[in-house]
Amino acid sequence: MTFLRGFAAVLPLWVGMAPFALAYAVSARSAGLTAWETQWMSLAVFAGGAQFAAAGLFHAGASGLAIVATTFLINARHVLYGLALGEKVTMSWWQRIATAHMLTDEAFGVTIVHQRPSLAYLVGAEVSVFVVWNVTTAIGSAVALAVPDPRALGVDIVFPLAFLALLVPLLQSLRTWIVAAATAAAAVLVSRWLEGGPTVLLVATIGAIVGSWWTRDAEPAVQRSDDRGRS
Amino acid sequence: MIEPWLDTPIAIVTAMAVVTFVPRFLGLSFARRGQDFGPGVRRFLRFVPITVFAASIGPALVVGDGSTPLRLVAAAASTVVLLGTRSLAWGLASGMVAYWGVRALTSGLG
Repeated sequence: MTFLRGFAAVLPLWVGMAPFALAYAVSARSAGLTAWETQWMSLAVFAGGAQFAAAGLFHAGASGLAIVATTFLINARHVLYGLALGEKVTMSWWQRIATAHMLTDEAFGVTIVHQRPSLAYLVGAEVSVFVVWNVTTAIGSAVALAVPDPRALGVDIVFPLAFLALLVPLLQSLRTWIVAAATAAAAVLVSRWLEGGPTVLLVATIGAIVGSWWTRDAEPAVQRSDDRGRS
Repeated sequence: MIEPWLDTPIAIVTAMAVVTFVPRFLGLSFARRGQDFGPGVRRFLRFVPITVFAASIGPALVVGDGSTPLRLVAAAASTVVLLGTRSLAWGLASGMVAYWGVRALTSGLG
């Protein structure tokens, strides 16, 4: 049941993920990857931003090493997700292997804001993302013809809105609002020089350090008030 | 080829999978000692989702083309509704309606 609740929590985000998996598949195919190679990336790597970047790099004829290094940089932010999740959900080593493989922004997001995160809820959210991402990759790969650019359609507005919907319930004090606003503004600036993945890793790490230092005199503020507000 | 073991797409994608899995797994593994973390580390981890979401939102709103004002309007509308409802679905829906509504209005006028 908890698994199904986690699975269902991601459903509103499907509308944003499906067009992007389609677009990824079309760009990967146009970069010269076969249908199987395109699908293998969605199954084995399973990280949207990195898959887009890789499709672009394949298209540009980048070396394998450059593609792998870029992927690592973009996905290194998952260390932070794992740290935050692992603190709330205890799991054995084989459970960590399974959940680590399917860990994504979206599954992390809906799980970390849940009042009582559990392994079943996390896996439900992860499988939900995995299913929609891979099914629409397969569809996009098969029809790789004239799928319009999602940015031109404006469908990509779903991503910042989805993150916003996950963020706002976490903002329980004036200081958390200020830290969030300053972090967003800093990310806008930094993203002029860095790719999206490294930008998030760098700015979010600094923001969290500053935030924890700033609230050192009010230790329980962020989480305890959150629990109280929701229970 | 400098890296002959990375010369087919399948090999490259498989290597991508490995370097993606490692940080995912390490984060989850280090955090198993979460019970022993001091208050400073706990506060840091509380802030991680806040700053990760904020850092993801900023560049997705200020995209550097004509749609930036529209995106900010959509985000503002969505924030107001979220503060009232705390609902992911309503927040998404109101932001989408604001985005498409203002876009339709302005393109109609232009």
